[in-house]
Amino acid sequence: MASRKSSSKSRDENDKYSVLLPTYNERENLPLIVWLLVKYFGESGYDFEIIVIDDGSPDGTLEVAEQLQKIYGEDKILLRPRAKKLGLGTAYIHGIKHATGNFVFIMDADLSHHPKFIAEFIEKQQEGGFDLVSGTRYSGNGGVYGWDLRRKLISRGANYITQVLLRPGASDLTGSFRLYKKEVLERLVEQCVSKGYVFQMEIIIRARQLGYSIGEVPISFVDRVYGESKLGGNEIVSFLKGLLTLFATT
Amino acid sequence: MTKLLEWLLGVSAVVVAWGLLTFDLLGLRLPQAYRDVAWPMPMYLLLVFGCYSLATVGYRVATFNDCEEAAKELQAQIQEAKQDLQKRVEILIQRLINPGVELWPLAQLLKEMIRQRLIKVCRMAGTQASHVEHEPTRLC
Ligand SMILES: Nc1nc2c(ncn2[C@@H]2O[C@H](COP(=O)(O)OP(=O)(O)O)[C@@H](O)[C@H]2O)c(=O)[nH]1
Ligand SMILES: [Mg+2]
Repeated sequence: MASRKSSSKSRDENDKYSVLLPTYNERENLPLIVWLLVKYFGESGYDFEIIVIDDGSPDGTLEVAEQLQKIYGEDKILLRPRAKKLGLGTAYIHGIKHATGNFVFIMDADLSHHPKFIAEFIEKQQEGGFDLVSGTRYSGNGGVYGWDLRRKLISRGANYITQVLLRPGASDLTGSFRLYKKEVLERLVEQCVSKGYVFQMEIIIRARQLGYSIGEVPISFVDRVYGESKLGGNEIVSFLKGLLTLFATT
Repeated sequence: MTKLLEWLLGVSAVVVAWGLLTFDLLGLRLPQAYRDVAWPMPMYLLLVFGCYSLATVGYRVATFNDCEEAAKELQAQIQEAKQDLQKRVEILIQRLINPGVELWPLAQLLKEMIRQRLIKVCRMAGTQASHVEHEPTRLC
C-alpha cells in the first residue's frame, strides 16, 4: 500500500521499501540478488517490493526476470523495462515513478551490494530519522573485496581529492547502495543533472545543500570479477570532468 | 556559493595576507624577521599539505579492508541460492502440469518445454559473467 510519512522513529507497520534494481546484462546475477533480497527482507519482516529496470539487455535478463516474477509473485517483483540502454540516472527516475513504498533502496544488481545490510540501513534510518542513509566502503568496517593495490590507490586518491574539493560530509560519494525517503529521492532526482555515476556524487551533494540529513552504514563491497583491471584513461578523464563540474556548479 | 567560489575566496585571503606581510604594504614597519618568515610561507604550506595528503592516502590504502570473509560468504550463498531456486522451479513445474497426465506424450513434451524455459533461471544464476559487457566505470 502506498503510504507517506515524513519521519518515523520506530518500526511502522505501514513502512514499505521499494528496491530499485537497474540491470544491464545481469542474467547470471539477477536471480541471485533477488533470492538474497527475498531472504533478508523475509528474515527481518519488512514489507518490500523489487523493481527491475532492465534496459533491453541483449543477454536475456528480462526473460530471467519474468521467470523470477512467476516464482516470487507479481506483487514482489515488478518489471519496468525500457527498450534500450538509456543510462543509470534515468533508470532510477523511471523506477521511482513506479515505486509504491515510502522508502526506496537503490543498489546494484551485480552482487557487489549485499542485501544482508538492508536491516542495518533501515535501523540506522529509524535511529536518526535520516532522510537518506548511504552505504560506505571507506569507514568503519566497510571495505572492498577483489581490488588490487593499484585499484585501491586510484580509489583512495580519487576519494581524497573529492573530499578536499567538495567537502560533501559523506565518506562514500560514488557508492550507490543507499536508502532514501521516497519524497526526498524524488526531490533530489529533479535537481540532478549529471549522468552515469557522477549522478551518485551529485545526489549526495545536493542532499547536503538542501539540508537533508545523511546517515552512513559501513558495507563490504564484493566487486564483480573482471577479466582484468580495465580502469584506464577514459574513466579518469570522465571522473575529473564530473568532479570539476560539481566543483564549479554546486 | 559554489565550492569554486569558496576556494577562490580562501586562496585570495591567504595571498592578500601573505602580500601584506611580505612586502609590508600597510607600512607597519614590521621587523625583518617577520618578513623572512612570511616570504616562504606559501611554499611551506603547500609542502605540508602535500605531505599530509600523501600520508593520508597512503595510510588509507594500507588499511583498506579486504573483505575476504564477505566474499566467501557470498560464494556459499550463491550455491545455496542456486539449489533453492532449482527447487522452486521444480515445484512450479509440478503445479503447472498435472502429474496424472504424465503418460500422455504431448503433456510430457509440454512439460519439458516449460521446464527448459524455467530451468534457464537456475542455469543462468551464478554462471561466469561475461567480462566484455561489464567494464568498471567507477574510479572510487
Ligand atoms: N537499466 C540500466 N542499468 C544499468 C546501466 N548501466 C549499468 N547498469 C546496472 O547498474 C549497476 C552498476 O553497473 P556496473 O556495471 O556494475 O558499474 P560499476 O560497478 O561502476 O562498474 C548494475 O546493476 C548494472 O547492471 C544502464 O544503462 N541501464
Ligand atoms: Mg559493479
